[in-house]
Amino acid sequence: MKYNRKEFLKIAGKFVLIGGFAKILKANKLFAAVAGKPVNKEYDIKSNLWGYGIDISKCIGCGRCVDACKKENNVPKEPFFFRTWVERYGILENGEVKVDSPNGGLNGFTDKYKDEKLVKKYFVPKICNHCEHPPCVQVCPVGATYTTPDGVTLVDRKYCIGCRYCIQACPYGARYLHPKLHVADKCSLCYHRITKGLLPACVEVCPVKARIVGNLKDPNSEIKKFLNANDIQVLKPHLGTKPKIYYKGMDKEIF
Amino acid sequence: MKYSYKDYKHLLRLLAIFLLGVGVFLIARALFTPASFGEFGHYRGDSLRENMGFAAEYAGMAACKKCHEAVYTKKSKSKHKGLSCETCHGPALRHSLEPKKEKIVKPGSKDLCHLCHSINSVRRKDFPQVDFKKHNPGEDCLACHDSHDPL
Ligand code: HEC
Ligand code: HEC
Ligand code: HEC
Ligand code: HEC
Repeated sequence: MKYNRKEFLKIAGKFVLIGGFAKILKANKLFAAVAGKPVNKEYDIKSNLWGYGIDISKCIGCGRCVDACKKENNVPKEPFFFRTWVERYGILENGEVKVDSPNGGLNGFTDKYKDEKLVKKYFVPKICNHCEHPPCVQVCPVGATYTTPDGVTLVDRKYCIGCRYCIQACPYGARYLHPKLHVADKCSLCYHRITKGLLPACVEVCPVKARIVGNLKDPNSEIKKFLNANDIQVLKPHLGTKPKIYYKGMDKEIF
Repeated sequence: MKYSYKDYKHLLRLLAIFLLGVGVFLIARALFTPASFGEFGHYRGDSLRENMGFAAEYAGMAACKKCHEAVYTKKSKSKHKGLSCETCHGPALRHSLEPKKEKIVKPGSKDLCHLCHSINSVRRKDFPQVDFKKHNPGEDCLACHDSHDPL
């Protein structure tokens, strides 16, 4: 059988179209088959929603959380890369607010204000707020940062192109560009630990239970008890990011 | 006026090119979209599993009990009951799995106790703090305080 050019193109075009649609259909079927399935047998992603509490009134600023976080998550040791850090607030009599965080609090804090009269003072631990409406996820041009069904905002290291949009977009300064991996890095609530029944490293080492983590869908979880028993505030509520990091003992000067 | 086929033939050609374009786009999308995309949401589902699979360093206090029962029990009745073993000893998951091979640090009091117990005007007043210049200066804290049962 012989085709002229036109006939050949017609037939070839049909094949390409049919093949393409078949591939799309197949992809969608795959999607339907795996959507909502648990990721591993022990961990049920659907029955979890992670929330995290920070009790400012308990924190003593020992910085063990910062140290443990760096060791657990291979965060570079340099003093400007942190997944969690502790800020020191000192509010003077004249209303002046002093905030600092030498090496993120990793080496503890010296008694810098011993000659000042502080009317208020706090150690404020900070981490990624795992927002319900995360600005970082919205701006990522390649879909390399996302919120999991159990409420944790993560980074896809294979797809991240290191463009730093998310770092700029985060109103909490919770992200940095990893100098060796060249991808955005941030607190993952130790996703590799909490999904295996371990505590995040920072929660594990906190000596005064200033950090609490748990399942918001479980009415008997530590975090639910913490939320029910205390007056809770979140950071920068006016931005509408809806953080899932809940603070107890937050004052208006803390931002 | 009457139109004949040849008057709108060019439109059909245009339509064919347009459809071809759509087809090429859909095929390219299907080819380049990672298989696990959309599994949980608008991202690569495998990334979530990769994040789950990162290696841990900290074992958690429960792990130490099995082999260090005595220290564990002593500490759990002491003023340091709220502290995890790894708060002072550092990450010990690898030690827990292979205690003979993976040694862990016995921290000296010099770099340890001051983190929590040095006097600091920002630290809450109800937390026990000592002035290191006045509280037995020059002596090792561990000479008088057992780190697993300090008082
Ligand atoms: C499987 C049993 C086992 C587990 C689990 C275990 N250890 Fe050990 N640990 C040992 C043994 C055995 C030694 C003695 C090693 C030696 O002297 O060679 C030891 C020694 C130590 C020492 C003393 C090191 C020294 O230089 O004297 C410390 C501190 C320690 N372990 C802490 C921990 C902590 C913290 C944990 C929990 C995260 C832990 N261990 C879990 C078996 C274990
Ligand atoms: C407050 C910090 C601190 C905590 C919490 C702590 N340790 Fe220690 N541990 C020390 C120090 C400091 C030494 C070194 C003691 C010395 O040299 O006399 C030590 C020594 C040890 C040793 C060596 C043997 C010994 O008794 O001297 C073992 C084993 C040990 N710790 C296990 C544990 C385990 C298990 C836990 C948790 C149940 C734990 N430690 C919690 C600070 C701590
Ligand atoms: C990571 C923080 C941390 C480190 C490091 C630490 N401690 Fe403690 N220590 C605590 C906490 C928390 C308490 C309980 C405080 C309370 O009861 O409010 C405590 C209680 C004490 C007490 C009892 C004080 C009292 O009046 O009840 C003594 C003494 C003490 N520690 C000594 C030490 C010594 C010595 C070291 C160094 C080997 C040390 N601590 C290291 C956190 C720490
Ligand atoms: C010569 C023994 C000795 C040495 C060395 C020593 N202490 Fe003490 N320490 C005591 C005694 C005794 C007490 C309880 C009586 C008191 O409150 O003064 C005490 C109390 C404390 C308290 C509780 C204070 C409070 O307000 O409840 C802390 C915290 C403490 N020591 C930490 C340390 C640290 C940290 C070091 C090392 C820099 C250290 N001690 C060295 C004997 C000692």
